[in-house]
Amino acid sequence: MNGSLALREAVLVLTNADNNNVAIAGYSFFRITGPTTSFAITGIANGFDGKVITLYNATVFSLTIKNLNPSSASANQIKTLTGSDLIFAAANSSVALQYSLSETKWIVIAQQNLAAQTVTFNQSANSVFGTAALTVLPSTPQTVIPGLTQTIDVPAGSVAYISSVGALVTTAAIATGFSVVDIFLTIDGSITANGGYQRVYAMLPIQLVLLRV
Amino acid sequence: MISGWSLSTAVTLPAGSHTFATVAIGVAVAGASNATVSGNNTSTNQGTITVMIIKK
Repeated sequence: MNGSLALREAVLVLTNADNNNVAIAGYSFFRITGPTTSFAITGIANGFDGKVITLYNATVFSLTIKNLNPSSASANQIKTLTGSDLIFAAANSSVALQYSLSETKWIVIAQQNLAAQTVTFNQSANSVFGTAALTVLPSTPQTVIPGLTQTIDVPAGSVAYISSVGALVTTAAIATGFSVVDIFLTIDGSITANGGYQRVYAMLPIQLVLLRV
Repeated sequence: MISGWSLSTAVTLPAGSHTFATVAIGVAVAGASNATVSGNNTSTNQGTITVMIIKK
């Protein structure tokens, strides 16, 4: 083509909140006016095979392009290609869309001035500490050490890294006395399959002296 | 004499609420005495358990 391409501007008056099945005239470049607060577009009517439109938000209020929103007829809905709504900054912004005949949807093909996204990583780290001593007899069954338990809401697709440290002493009254205690990590009351078990031996300091002799 | 433990492991869990704990079990060995395990923040035996949730 020898020349220039010009898509004439038309005014598109929208309202606050959701705008459903927005009717557009025979233009491809629209200057949005009207809203006095945040607003959204759930769908656009009058789409046909390959039609391209650019929406220029001339207001200073946030525009949201809603993804496959049922408030508009199926053939008027918009695929943002992110699986989520596109939220633009509370300022001038623009979005370009093209109509897909095979999908009977508007497809977002470009945008400018999206709002800053808040990314939630759902990550955390938390320690809890012993609150009291536990006396363990040779016959003591599985017992939670006081204070060493915490309940956490684990999000999907996460790994939990668990670590525990601490110490014990024997209460033996004779020089050759000793204690043996198994320490475990448990999840929901069950002992972990790997890495969560130690057998700890405790003896009196006098035995070290005897060993050195 | 103080004897310590140090345990760690990483596990993938289904989404939802889970309870993590450190537990003790006595071992019935002939001649073994009782043991004092962990303690509060005035004790040099005080234990701790840390859980880190890492999003993949």
